Parts: sequence; structure tokens; C-alpha cells
Amino acid sequence: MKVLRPKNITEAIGLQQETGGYYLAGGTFTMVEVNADRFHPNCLIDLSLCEELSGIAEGEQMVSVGAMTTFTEIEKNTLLGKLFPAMTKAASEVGGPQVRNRGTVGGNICAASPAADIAPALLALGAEVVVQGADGMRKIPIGEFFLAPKKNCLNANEIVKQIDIPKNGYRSAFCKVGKRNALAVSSVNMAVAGSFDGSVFTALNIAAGSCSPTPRLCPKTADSLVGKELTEDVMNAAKELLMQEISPIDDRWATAEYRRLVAQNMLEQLIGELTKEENA
Amino acid sequence: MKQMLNCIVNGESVTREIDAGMTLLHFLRDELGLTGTKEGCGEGDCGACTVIVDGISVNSCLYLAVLAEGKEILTIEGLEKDGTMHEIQQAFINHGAIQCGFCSPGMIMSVKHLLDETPKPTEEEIRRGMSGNLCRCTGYQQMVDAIMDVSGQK
Amino acid sequence: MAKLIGTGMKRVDAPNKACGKAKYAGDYTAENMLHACLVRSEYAHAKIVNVDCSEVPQDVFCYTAKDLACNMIPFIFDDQPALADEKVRFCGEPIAVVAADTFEQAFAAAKKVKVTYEELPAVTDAEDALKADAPSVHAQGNVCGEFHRGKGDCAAAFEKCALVLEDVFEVPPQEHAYIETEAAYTYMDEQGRLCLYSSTQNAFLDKTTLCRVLGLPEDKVVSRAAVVGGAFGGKDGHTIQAFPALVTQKTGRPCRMTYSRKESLQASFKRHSARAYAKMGFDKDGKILAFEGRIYFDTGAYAAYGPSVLCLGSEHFAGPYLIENTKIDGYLSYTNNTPASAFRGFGAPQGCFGSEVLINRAAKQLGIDPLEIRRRNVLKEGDIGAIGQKMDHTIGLLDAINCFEQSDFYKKAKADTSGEYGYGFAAGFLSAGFGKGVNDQATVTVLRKDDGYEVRCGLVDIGQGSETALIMIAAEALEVEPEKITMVMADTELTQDCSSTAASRSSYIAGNALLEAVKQIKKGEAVGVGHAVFPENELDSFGVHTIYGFIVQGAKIKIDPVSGAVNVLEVHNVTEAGTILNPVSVKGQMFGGIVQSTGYAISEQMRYRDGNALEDSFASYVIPTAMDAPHMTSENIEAYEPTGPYGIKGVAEAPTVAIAAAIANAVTDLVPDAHIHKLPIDRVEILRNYPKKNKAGK
Repeated sequence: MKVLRPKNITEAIGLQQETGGYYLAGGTFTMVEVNADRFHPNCLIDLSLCEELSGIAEGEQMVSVGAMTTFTEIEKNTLLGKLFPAMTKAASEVGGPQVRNRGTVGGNICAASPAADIAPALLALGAEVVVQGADGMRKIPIGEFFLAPKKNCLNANEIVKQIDIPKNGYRSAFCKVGKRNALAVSSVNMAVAGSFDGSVFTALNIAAGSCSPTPRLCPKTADSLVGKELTEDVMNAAKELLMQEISPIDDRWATAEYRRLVAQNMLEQLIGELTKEENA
Repeated sequence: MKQMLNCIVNGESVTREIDAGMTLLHFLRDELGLTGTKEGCGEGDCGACTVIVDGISVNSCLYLAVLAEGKEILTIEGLEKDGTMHEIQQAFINHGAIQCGFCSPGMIMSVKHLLDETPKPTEEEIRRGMSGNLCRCTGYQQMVDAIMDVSGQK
Repeated sequence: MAKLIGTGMKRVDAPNKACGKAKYAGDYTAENMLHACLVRSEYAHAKIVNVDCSEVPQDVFCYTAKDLACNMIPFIFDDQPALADEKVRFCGEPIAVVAADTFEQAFAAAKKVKVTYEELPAVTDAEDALKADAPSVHAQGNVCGEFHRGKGDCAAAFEKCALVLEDVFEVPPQEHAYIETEAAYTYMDEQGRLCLYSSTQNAFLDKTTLCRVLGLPEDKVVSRAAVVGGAFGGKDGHTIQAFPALVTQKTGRPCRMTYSRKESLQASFKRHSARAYAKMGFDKDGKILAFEGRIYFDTGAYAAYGPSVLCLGSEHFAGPYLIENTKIDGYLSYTNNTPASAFRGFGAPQGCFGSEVLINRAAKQLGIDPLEIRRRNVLKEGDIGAIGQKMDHTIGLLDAINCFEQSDFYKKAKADTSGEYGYGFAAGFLSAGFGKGVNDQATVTVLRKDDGYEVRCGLVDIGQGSETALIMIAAEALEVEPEKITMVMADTELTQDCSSTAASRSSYIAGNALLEAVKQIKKGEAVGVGHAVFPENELDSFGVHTIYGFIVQGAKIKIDPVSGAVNVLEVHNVTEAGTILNPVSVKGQMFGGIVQSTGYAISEQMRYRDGNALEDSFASYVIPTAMDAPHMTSENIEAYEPTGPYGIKGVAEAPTVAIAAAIANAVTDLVPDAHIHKLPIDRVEILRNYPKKNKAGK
């Protein structure tokens, strides 16, 4: 195996086309696969020297988070904490400190794990993935990014450059359940983001992870909660819709039955959090 | 494929030609003989291999050694200064926080990172700061006590 | 000269460990060293038709069963080959050893060994294995052991009971999860002796194993323990030692071998899973009148220490209580699961989970405080235990309960009217020593040196601190500063066989032998050789014990209503273990054991599908992190065991016995309708029964 270390995105893309290598971000997923004898790359292209991939920049309409931003950096960033609490919370619950120190937002979404913690937050916040490849740049709504477990929509030469998150003033919240309180793979995770006018939601996104082949938005569930007083009946109807929108399975992380129970509880919990006055 | 690596390990400049696929863990253990850094899982699940790279705690089993080019690496062997142990090491000893000792080097490096960032952590912050390191002997309590002590809170 | 006994003397091994200087087996290296790995079975049960090593590169060494002088590991029974020969009996069973200049080469070559199997039907449940139509794991069938004892007349006693409770309890296989996986290093010394450093609980048994398996005479093998990175029972007996030794024997080159975490999880010994049918009868005042229990232990493909686990588990099944009428039946089955063997608590946590949960249910139904009901039933000195054994040594359970009742923890629990937290209590005991009929002796040598004394002991410091404990005892007895004592441990050349570091026996048995040796030194001898024998119970029952340590534990928990997860917030522990030699070390043992069994209660389990382990990493086999472990406090009872060195008893295992039940009882306190009878505690059961209002009605 060889390791290439390009200094910028253009060089990285060129090297990828030359070698057929794989991009390496923080390594907290790729290196596990290599060490566990499940992934045998001939060439890894390390992106850590490409400065265009780092940094958090605030624009008028959106905040751009560089793909190589680590979870620790996200967790500590006050701007993100103020605008996108769901993202901050999700980043803070990934793995343990050492994994958060290395794992990156771009790497995490590219790994396309159904249980990726940052994914539901980005989905609920309406993020777009900015991608650069040999054929130029494109913007992909995060909802179209994940195709299947461990499969994203990128071509081999494409690099996630940044994640753009719209500044639409949404409140947001995230919740994760795993088998323990740290170093846990999510059995279920969920994020919600929306506008609440004090009595009803005027906009709402709900995204669930580890409940379907990919992290996904649950638009019917979300729509059912918009513009209505949040009575017990409305919540129960929303939970039923959620059960239709997710398709959990039994695997080593949880049973489908457990995931269904938790997803319903989580929905109620997160909606409760969003409607609290202090989150206004 | 062999690649060159220049870095600073425990304050000393190191140059080696190594396999590109070698992890930092194996570089430290096999190339430099710094066996204080332990391998407990090889998958980032236990933290026994924790070292500090440019001030940040990482699992050295998931870190390709060639990426440490130009960086400063601190391992458990580098904590002692002129034959005097670091106060975290001493506090672990004083509080009975070391049993089998296999997790100790990685745990101590994580605690070093925690206290560098948060000099007076709460018990909750301590437990969170240690949560990337598994210990099977102590139940963590005497480690928490040691950290409270070394941060001047006991 | 300061008195040492009862002080928190700092551990002598801690500085090296804190500085990364301690040398574990995997830290040894040499020029010309070979790296070895294993070819393992892909099936739970299959005939081996052929092992083809022809694709292995020329510069790689490959060995199979035919390269061994005697393919049988010495354990209680001769039933386990070192390398599977005619058939494989569990997934992950070793078949061939491959060695090369680098680990990567060896690992790649191991994949080129082609094993042809003829799959056989597998049996993976301990009770199913005893049915007539079950596939036979071994030629003689699947019964690995039985235990039947009792006293009085259970049937008649149940008739007289005001309350009879019964249930079926299930506990999973638990992984030791020492952070250091199995490892060993071998080399030939200048005298042509095969030398071994390994991560082990018994260097002498390792030597016996190498002599037998490799066909070497006793004077051609030296075995030593390296610094051991945790063991908990899982490194007692052969785990890896013979494999690098075989490579060194055949090649003359040093060899090192370390299991991956996946190998360690999927193929190392486990705590026996068990299914326990327990029935307990009480009078209206909570006095236990009868206990009837039937327990099935799954020992997996091979017996290992299973037959002893069966005896100890059965002996402790009814708990530390005086019960006039008992009937206890234990069964140990062979299955095609990973072999189970010794694990801290040695069968007791499995049965005690059920009995302690039943006592709690009784307390609730009879309206008696959970500590009070236990106090009304405690064993006292001179009583006859559940299997008929005389309790003729120190028993401080009553004192421990009284002490617990005075604790801040208990008072706060009683005063808590918030309804937010669940509280649960349990008591437990655990024997020390191997038990009747098992050779339980130690020989310790003390040598007078120019500047102090050298103490030689064949036991291993497996991380629990026995080196420091023995130094304390030696310094106290010799009336010198501890710095004057040098320890040499676990070396077949320099020390004498003291058998396994196991059974909470080290400080007791080696301490007694050490005191005998010191007597000779004090008479003026240059060398003192002390010998000690563990006392035996007068009851004629194999494996029965006579000395026990006692604990009382309480847990404060909270339940996450979203996930049903049990968060164990606080645990308080009271220990009776005779004299407390080193309170800091004893605390460490208590806390470590509590968290290990907290994992057993809330998250840990090995799961198998047709004998294939689903758990392949620490991501799916989840042991507690610092954020899952409770805040713990611990107290000790003042007691004195006259037969122990300075009055001590062993206690390293006791904390694992009762805490799972205490946690289960705390869950029931918060979620009364949840039926808690399995470990790990089922979150779905909690969520389905989580009350709309908390127990305070809020």
C-alpha cells in the first residue's frame, strides 16, 4: 500500500484518477476496516493537507463546514452551537474523545453508515453537500447523498469539500441511543429541526438513523405535526406515520422491535424539546 | 511501499523509512521499541493505544504513521521528566488507580489531554474525558479520585 | 518499624505500569523472532476431512495436530486437543499454527491453509444438549457433570410456607474482556531449554502443558509469567502458550503470538451461561423455609474448569442463608458454543442472580424491608449451609448488613421520596480456596540477602496486587521496611508450584506459607521454606468450601424513559473478608468487580447464531466505560479469620456475585410490572412496562 498526501483538492483528484486510490479523512472508519482485514486499498489519498477542506465559515445565507472539520471542532464551535444545536449534540456523542479528535464530518457521511450520528442532524437541518470532482463541482442535498449501507452517491474521484447548512433560524435537537453512554454505535438516532411559533410548528424536519438502510428524512411524520396543536392524538398519529416511514431490522446493535419503541419515544422527546420556551 | 517519516517523538527528532501502511502504534512499538503504548483492540474501541499528536489525543492504532510527518508525538514514556513522574502518574499510583496496568498508559495520556484542555474538570467531565479508554480492573472510581486530586479538587 | 497490615501501602508494581515500563508478554521481542497466528475453525461442529498447507509459502512455517507429541491439553478432564484433529467442536477452535518473519506474512499465509470440513449438526443450548436426540459433542455424550445435594424435606416444607415464589432465570455467556488479549513469547535459552513468558494465571500448569503437548522433559522447559494485563479467570489454563512454543521447538527461533480482540472475543473462555429454575418458600416473617433449585450450565465444547464451576455454582445457588430444607441439582452440558471456564465468581453469580431476585420479591410481597429479610436469614458461624457444609469459619454477614443499614447510602435511599430513582439491595458470599478434594497448597521461600530478603512464590500477580500484598505480609513478619523485600513470582525455575492464581486464595494461602518460612528465618536460618495447606470442610462433597467472604451491596439507578436503559448511578458496598490487609487494594477489587458485574447486568452478552459468535469487537461486546460505571463507595467490617495470615480471608471475587441482582431489584423498584428474570436486563421489557407515573405518584 502507498499513502499520497496532496496539498490541494485539484492535486488530490488528479492523484485519485492516476492511482484509483481511496480518499482518507480522519481514518476512524477506514482504518478500522483496514485493521479488521475487511478493506485492502492499494493506495490511500490523505486529505489532511488540503486546506480548502478545513474551517467553518459563516455566510449570509448559510454556514459552510469544511469536510475535514473534526467532531471535536464542531462540538467546540460556538457559532454552530448557537445556530445548529442538533449538529453540536450529534458531534459530541460520536464515539469517545479520541475518535472525535480525528473523525471528520466529511468522512462520516462518506462512510454512509446507517447509524452515522451526524447524518440525521444534517438531514433535519437541510444541509447540502458540496462536492468537487474531475468533472467540476456539484451540490447534493444531503437527503440524496446516501444510497445504501456503506454506499454514497459520489464518483470515485469526487471529494466532499464542505457541508452548507442554511441559516433558516430553526430550533433543532438530537438524540441518540446506543448500548452504553459512550463509545456506542447508535441503535437509534434522530434529529428534529423546525420553526415553532409558540403554539404550532410552521416548519419541521425529522430525520432518523439506524432505522432504515440509510439515515433518512421522515417527511410524512414531520408534515403531520406542522400547523397543528400538539395534542396526544396528533403525537400518536405522528408516531404511527413514523413507523411507516422507517424500516428497522434486527441486527447486532438492536432488534427491530426495540428500534420501533425507541424511535417513537425519541420523536416525542425531541418534539418536546423543540417546543420548550428556552429553546426559542 | 516504503516511505520516509520525520517526526518528533517525546522531544527527540526521529527519521525512519517505514511501510506506508504502518500505523503509528506499530511504528512506536516495533520501530522505536516504545512498548508502553498498548494495543487492546486495533479498532479504536479501547483507547489503550492513546498518544498525543500535536496536543491532541488520538488512537494510534487508527493513525497511519506517515501522517505524523513533521508532528510532535508524546507517548507515556515521554511524560517522565528527569526521572520524576508526571503528577498524573503519581496520582494514579497514590490512589490505587492502577491494577493490571494495561490500560494505564493510554488512560494517563487521555487524562493528560483532558487536563490540558480543562484544568479543573467536574466528575462528569472527568468521566467523559476518560470515556474513550476501557478499563476492566478498577471500575474507574479510583482513577476519578486521582484526577480530582491532581486537579486540586480533593 | 511501622505497622503495615491495614495500611493502604502503594502498589510496588504501579510505577513501572504508570510509566509504560512494565513488560507484558506482547512486549517481548528478539532478533530473528517469528510471529505466529492461528487457522481457526469456521464451523461450530464439523468433521475435519483434510488440512491442506501446500499453498503456504516456503518461507512460512505451518504446523498441525500431527506435529504435536501429545494432542491433549491438561485440564480437569482430558477432553481438549491443542489443535483440532478429527473434528472441530466450536467456531474458532484452533486447527493450525502458522509462523513467519512478520505478522502480516503469517496472517496472509494462514488464509492459504485450506481446511475441508464435513459439517455436523450443532447443539447450542445446555438443556437441549441433554436430550436423547441431541447431537453428541463428544463420543461419551453431552453430560459433562452433575451435582445433586440437599437437606431436609423440601416438599413438606413448601406445604408449610406462607409464600412460595419460583421463576426461571437466564444469564448469558460473559467475556472476561481483559484489555490485554492472550499473548505469549517463547525462545530457546543457551542451555537448550524452551522458555516461555506468557499472560497467565499459572506458570506451572503452563510448563506441564508444554511438556506434555510438545513431549519435552521437565528440565527442558522454563515457564514464567510476564506482567499480566488482566485475567479474571480467563487466563487460567492453556489459552495460547503451546502455539508459539511449538514454533520455537520446531524452528529453534524465538516466537511471539498475540490474539486479536476478535479472536479473544470469539474463541477464548467465557463465563458459563446458565438457566436456573429456582423455587423459594417463606414463612410470613420472611424466614426462608425451603429452597429448590435446578441449574443448567453450558460449558461449551470442552470442560476446562467447568466441572468445578458446576460445584461452586451449585454450592452458592441458595445464597448466604440458613435454610433447613434444600434440594440443589446442577447440570453441566457440552455444547458447540465457545468453551466456558473460570470467571471471577466461578458459577456463583449465575445462581445468585435468581435467588437474590426471589428474596426481593418476597420482601415486597411480605412487606418486609429488603435488608431486614436478609438479616432474618443470615448464615452464622456453626450453621449448616445449603448443601450440608458446616460454616465453621468467620462469617460477618450480619455485621455487614448492620453496617450497610448505617450507611449514608442506605439512609438517603430510605429518605428519597422523589420517585425518580430505583434502589435495590442484595447480599452475597463467595468461597475462597479450591474446595475439597483439590490439591490446594503453597510453598513459599524466603532467602536472607545482604540488604534484606528475597521472597519467592509461584503465584502470579495478575493485576490484583498479590505482589504488594505478599511484600506487606513479609515486611510485617520480618519487621523490616517493605523496601527490604524483593519478590520473585511465577517462575518455574526459581519458585515452587503454588497452583493457580485463582479462587480468591493467593494472599491467604501464600501468606500462610510465607509466615511459615519467616518463622525459620527468625530462628536464624539463611533460607526459610514455608508450606501451607488450605483447610477443608468436613462434609464429604467434592469441591465444597469452608471459608467464605461476604458482601452486601446496594444500587441507585435511573431509567431513561426514551431508551429503557438502566443507568447505574451509585453503588454502595460493604465487605467482610477478615482482616483487611490493604484497604486501598480491597476497594479496588470491590469497585472493579462491581463494574464488571454491572456490565453483566445491563449490557454484556455473547450472542451466538448456530454457534457463530455475533460479537467480534468491543463495539458490539459492550463493557462499561467511565460514563456507564456508577459512583462507588465501600466499607469493610472489622473481622478476623483465625486461620488466615494476620486474620485475612480472600475476597477478590465476592463483589461480582450480588450486584446484578441488586440492580435488577432497583429496576423492579421503579418499574414494578417489568418481569426481570434475564441478564442483561431487557430494555424492551422495561419500556413496555414503564409506568405513566413514577413510584412517588408524580
